[in-house]
Amino acid sequence: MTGETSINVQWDNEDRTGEASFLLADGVTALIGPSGAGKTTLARLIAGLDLPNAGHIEIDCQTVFDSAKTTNLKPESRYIGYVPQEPSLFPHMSVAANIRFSARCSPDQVGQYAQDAGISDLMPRMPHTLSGGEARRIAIVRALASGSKLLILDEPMNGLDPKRRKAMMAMIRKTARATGIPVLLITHQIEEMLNTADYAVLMDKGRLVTHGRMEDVMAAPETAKIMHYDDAGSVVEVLVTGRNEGVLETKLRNTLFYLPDENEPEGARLRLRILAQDVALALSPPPGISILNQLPCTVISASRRGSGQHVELAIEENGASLQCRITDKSFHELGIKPGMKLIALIKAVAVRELLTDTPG
Amino acid sequence: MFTPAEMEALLLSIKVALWATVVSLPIAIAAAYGMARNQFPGKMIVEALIHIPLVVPPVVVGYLLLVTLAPSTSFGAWLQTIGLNPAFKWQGAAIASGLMALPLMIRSMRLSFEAEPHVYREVAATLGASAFKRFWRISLPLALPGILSGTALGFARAIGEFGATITFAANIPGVTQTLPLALYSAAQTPGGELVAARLALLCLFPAVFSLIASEWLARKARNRRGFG
Repeated sequence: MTGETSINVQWDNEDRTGEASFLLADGVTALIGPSGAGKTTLARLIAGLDLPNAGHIEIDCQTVFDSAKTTNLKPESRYIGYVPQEPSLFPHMSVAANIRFSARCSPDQVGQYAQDAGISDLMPRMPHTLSGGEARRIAIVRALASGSKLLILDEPMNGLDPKRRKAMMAMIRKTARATGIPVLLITHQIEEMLNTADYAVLMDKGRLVTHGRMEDVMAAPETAKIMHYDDAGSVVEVLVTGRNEGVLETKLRNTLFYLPDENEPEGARLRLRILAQDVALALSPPPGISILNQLPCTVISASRRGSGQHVELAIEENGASLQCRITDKSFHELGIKPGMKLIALIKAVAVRELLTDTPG
Repeated sequence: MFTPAEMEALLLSIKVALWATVVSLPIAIAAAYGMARNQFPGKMIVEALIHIPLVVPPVVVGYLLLVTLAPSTSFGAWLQTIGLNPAFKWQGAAIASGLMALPLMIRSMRLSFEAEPHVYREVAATLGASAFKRFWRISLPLALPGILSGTALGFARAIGEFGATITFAANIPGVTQTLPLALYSAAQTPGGELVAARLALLCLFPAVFSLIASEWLARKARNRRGFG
């Protein structure tokens, strides 16, 4: 656990101006926005590589920048691990020498980081012999080894193939959990945010648009607009409570929710993505149907979006939000209007599992 | 193969050029690094001053040294009293040839420092490395190929230095008479054509050797990090 980390900066360098202000929570926070939103600019200001015009930056309860008190710690005194987008391993040093370069952690600790990142075997290699994914992982371990109190990763999945991308996302999440060091993950991909982040900060054109829990940022209408994001849907978390006949029983808050059993352990927390197009609606529980999840819901709102209707629902038992997309024809035949009670039907196999946090 | 007098000139040349290069090296690195990294008022003027030995006739450089350091000047006389006046000594030849080599060394090293991507020293700073550590462990090793070729170039220039040396240190056999000066004397002497030709051949050795050595070292440094 770390102390408070707060960011509050305004900048105006050459053609770019902007401002952002937020508290950074433990865990992974995605700094998301389209290219040119000011994500890298903000990261460089936090790391001390560029100077903000005004503001206050506090890392783990230590003020590293304050325009009013003219505090401005040099990057080497800020203890912020910054892993830029471009290759940054020192080309004239082996992997081991790169990691040792400024290691402030004990050799045992460094060895543990290297092992967790799966790079122990790469130690004698020179950077030019490594793949992009390996080099990124080593750069992250090097930043951890320097005793960072905050890790800033600038587009770490860029240029990786889907398999390595997935491994990198898992590693980032695992690192944040194992070390307790907050991670600020810069990305322009919704997918990367969904698979790694607990919190999100959305930026656009140098301004902070919204921030908070990832689910809430995902549900905010600005997110879909700014990120040109058409796959509307909701993100929910469920707790694995048991298994029965090849089906996983979970709790979505206090509602029973079925999923295909993929050997997730009991007690694990799963993050699920339920796309609006995978949710069907019925006026009453239909008899003789294969769909396992039949949740009584209330219509919150409905609006025309694209070629169909977008319906916002709240699960009756607990108010958790669901989104649903149906055709105009179904919409009118069911006579959907706000306040109406309906059954939401969700095929267990249509639900996408984003990540699993196992207990302990 | 070569006469004792010729060998004496060769060894003196090497001694003078080595000292000139070794003393110029840290000055050149500091100047090149300072010019590559900093913007300051009057940078253009400093740059022009550094390049003076490249653009004015070498005799002028020797003359300027002479009028500031000769024993007949007040500063030169003071140096003489503490026994450090370099005029008409091999040290004088080293100063003259070092001064002539300096701009060449600075140019080559500065390009190397400027070519270093800033991401390395920025990341090094966030990792907690001080400014000195960033220079010593990152910038200096990355600029090594340029530093080596600049040094070789400077050494070759110092070996071949003539005008500034003969003006400031004079042409005293066994004291300040380096290979080019001996060659000049031989060429001036009736019947000295053969000696002049042998000395010209001798001039090639140290220069070519230094260029080959630096190219080899630079290639080794580049291969280690996988480019070039």
